[in-house]
Amino acid sequence: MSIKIIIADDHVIMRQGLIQMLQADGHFTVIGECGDGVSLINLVLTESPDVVLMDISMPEMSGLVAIDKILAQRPMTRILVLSMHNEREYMEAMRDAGAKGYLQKETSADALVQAIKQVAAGKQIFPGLESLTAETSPATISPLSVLTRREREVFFLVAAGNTSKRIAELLTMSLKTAENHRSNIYKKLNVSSSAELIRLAGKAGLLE
Amino acid sequence: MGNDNQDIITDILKQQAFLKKRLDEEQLQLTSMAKRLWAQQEADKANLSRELHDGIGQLLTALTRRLSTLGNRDPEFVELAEIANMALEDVRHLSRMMSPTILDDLGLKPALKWLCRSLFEDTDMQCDCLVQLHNDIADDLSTLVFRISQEVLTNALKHSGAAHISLNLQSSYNSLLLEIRDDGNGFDYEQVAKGVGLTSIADRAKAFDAKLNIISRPGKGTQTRVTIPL
Repeated sequence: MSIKIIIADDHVIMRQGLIQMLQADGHFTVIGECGDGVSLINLVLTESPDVVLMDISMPEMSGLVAIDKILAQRPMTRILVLSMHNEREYMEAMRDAGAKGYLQKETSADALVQAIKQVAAGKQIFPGLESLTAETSPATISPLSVLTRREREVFFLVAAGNTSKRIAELLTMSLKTAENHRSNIYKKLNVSSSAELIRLAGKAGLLE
Repeated sequence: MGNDNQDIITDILKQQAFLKKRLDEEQLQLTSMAKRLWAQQEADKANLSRELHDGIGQLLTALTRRLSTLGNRDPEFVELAEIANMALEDVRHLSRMMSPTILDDLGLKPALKWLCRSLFEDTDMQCDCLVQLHNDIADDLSTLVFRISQEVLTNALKHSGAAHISLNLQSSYNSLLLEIRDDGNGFDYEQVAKGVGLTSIADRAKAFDAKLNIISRPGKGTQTRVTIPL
């Protein structure tokens, strides 16, 4: 059975090269292609691909934000990031965001084809990262277990994208108190932004 | 007579208030101009960095690949491929330091971790990086923190002779605190002529109402503290 793929890269030549390579293999059908993050999200939601092959640096919306939004709405999406960046921090950030694999653009065609098949089969591909000391994954603990009842309320409101001001209004508390709760939650969950909190909530299945 | 003096004093006070207001306005204009100038500088650096990466970088990638392929036939080409690859790595490093795309792509925390790792990984110095941010940081402040860290860490790398360096960034609801310490040679702050780099960060910090504080004594290491209001 053919693996359905969507390709996102702002370089047209890169996309064409990938399409040719995938068609030559015969196991893949490219069901969509685009050059920015916003179009990618729409394509994924309408076309339901098996694997998304995407770049990080794209116009309109960065790859990292796009991954967040895709997984928030379609958590089963299997994403393989194809990037020119060889820094370990990129790979870690993409793994933590919920991508299933990360390869450099210089990767040979054979290795890339193999990697896509493995990701489609549910495997994770992060070459070189396994050997490095991984930080404790936030997904392994239930975020709610460390929070007080009030902090849980604030947690869900932050995860739903509310500002501290709005949260203060909703829970009838002062802005300062809301900020304090928020800061305590961030500390307890070891996150540094609402984006990270939402990602963590998504991974723990708390966004439904 | 008493009334005349009163009038003169009132006049002088009015003039003073007027001059103070003009001075404040001009100060504000200068600050905003300085911020625009730095934003332009960052944009220029980003362009040059992209040219380096996409231009020379792509050419060197192609060259490395061709030489590697030839290496199957003649072992001498393997060595040439390695040299080409080293040039490629250098260009990439230069391009990244000039304009850290990782800051735009991933944000301040990964960018600082990358900076600490990539500056010190091939040295005998150990650099620890601890970043705890509880709010989203605006782009211009992220750039400010990154550039200050880059300058201070690069100075430490070149001059401190330290065995251990630590970078610590914390946020509270109304400020950001950046602290970089090393256990190296230290220097007499009054004696050392401030280089362009240090002066430029001091100016930048000032434009954002940040407090920059450097404590150092010969033989006692250096501690740089920056407090930035949010």
